[in-house]
Amino acid sequence: MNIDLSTNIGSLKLNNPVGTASGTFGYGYEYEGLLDFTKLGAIYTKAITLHPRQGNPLPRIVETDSGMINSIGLANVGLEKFITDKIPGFPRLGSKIIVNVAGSSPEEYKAVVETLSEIEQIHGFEINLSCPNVKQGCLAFGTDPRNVENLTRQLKALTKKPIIIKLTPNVTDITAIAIAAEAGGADAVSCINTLVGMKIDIKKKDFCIAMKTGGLSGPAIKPVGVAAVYKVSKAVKIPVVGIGGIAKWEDAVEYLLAGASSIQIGTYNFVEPAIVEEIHDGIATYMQENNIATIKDFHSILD
Amino acid sequence: MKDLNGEIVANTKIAESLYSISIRLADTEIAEPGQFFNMKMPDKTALLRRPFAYAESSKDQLSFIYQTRGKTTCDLSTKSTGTEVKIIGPLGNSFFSAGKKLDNYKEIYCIAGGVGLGPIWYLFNKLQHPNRKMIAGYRDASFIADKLKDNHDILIATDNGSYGFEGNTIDLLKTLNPSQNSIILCCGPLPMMKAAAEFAAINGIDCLVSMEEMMGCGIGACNGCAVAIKGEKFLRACKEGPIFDAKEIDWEKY
Repeated sequence: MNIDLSTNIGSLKLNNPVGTASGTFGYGYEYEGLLDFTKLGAIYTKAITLHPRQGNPLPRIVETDSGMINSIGLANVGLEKFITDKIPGFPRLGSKIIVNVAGSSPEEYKAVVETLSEIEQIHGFEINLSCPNVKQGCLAFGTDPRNVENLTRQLKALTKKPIIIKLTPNVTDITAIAIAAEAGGADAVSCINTLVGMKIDIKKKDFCIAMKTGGLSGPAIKPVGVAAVYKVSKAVKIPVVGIGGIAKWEDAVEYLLAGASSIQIGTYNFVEPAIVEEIHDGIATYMQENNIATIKDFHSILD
Repeated sequence: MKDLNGEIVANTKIAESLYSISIRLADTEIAEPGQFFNMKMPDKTALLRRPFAYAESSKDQLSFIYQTRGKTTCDLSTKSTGTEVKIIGPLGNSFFSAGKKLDNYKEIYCIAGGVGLGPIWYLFNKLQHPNRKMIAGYRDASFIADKLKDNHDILIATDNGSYGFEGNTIDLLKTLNPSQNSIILCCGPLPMMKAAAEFAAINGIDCLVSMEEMMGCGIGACNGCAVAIKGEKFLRACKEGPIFDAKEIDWEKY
């Protein structure tokens, strides 16, 4: 049968549902030569902030059982350098570019979105309201539904490009935040961001991460992500982007069956950059073998 | 840059807790001393890839030296020939591309401790310089690979004096009275590199160090392997490093 891998986020059409999660894929260029970018529907950039950020003290990452904890602290080149050094080469990569935006005040988010909204090479925004690794800021902000709704509305007023609100699992009820994002006019929500985690070195009797806690990611968190996507997709009508522990095509199919319209690969980009291709092809084969014609058709299979 | 399939062709113990692995690859770029590659650990014994510095590199083979320190490296020591691995490399800068013209120095001192032996051995063998010396330091004689003992160009220091000079590598370096126009090229445990940097600063000598950090991606994407630079800055060990001018490092953070 003819299958159609394309999927929509608001007005934006992606060729296929496979994306790479913010913070794990740099600005895209770092991975040139390691995978076939035509199999990548969207690149979600490293979080961009208004001003450059050096990031958190060391050490910043540690491996855990089937996962890793990071506390990078949104290290990035800042808006100005992003525009001059990173954006011009994006068309060469051949994937849609969705800029992940972070900040420590609503004004910073607005400044980044407004400045980038006229730039052709940018196809949408993912708003990071849920980074667990920044002291002042976004996690506290992203856990209050009223804040989320207000900021979403303000950002929507600044751009015609789609706005995706990235949700944190570090809340009592993730659907309340998703509903608030939808009420504010979000084109989609993505979930989940990392879970707050800690690892202690019992030999050194010290924390493995300088900031003590960080964000847990990797295969360990996949069931949490699938459950969140299932609940959120029942609660809102806008598309849900599934993230969390995807390491093989079967994981991506789980997310699609749970209600995701597209997915992001995160930590596993570090392990196997070409996993993008395997997941793209695996989804296509699964659709063929199971008579699933479109990505939307995944969503009527499970109750 | 490519992700290459490789096969372990040798994995042998060369001294107490030190192993040398050789990997055959189809066709690869030749690495310079100080560069590293990021290896997917065989049989899923770890999630993240691990960075290792080249001890040898040719078009179809590489080798590296590792120490059995934790679970991942202990697992690696049990892998037999024929085991498949995946490798992205060469990555990072090298001792030749870290901003110092080595030919301009009168004397070059290559200093190794622990697994720093791999890259420093490769460096020492590649250097054409007439006044190059290599110093390797270990806790005691059991950690010293035979190939070092057989080579009279290499000076060895042990903490307990059980082989060669009694003391650490920097104590041994002091006895050689390096001239002002010398450079130290160093790879080893952090306290050793810190001591080398301090000695170099006091004596007005240049010094390059190889910084080791836990890495996420190894290719400059994640900013996990940051190295603390003076002026509250960070640079990536995998991209701007791993070889840095010792003067740039904010040693108070280490």
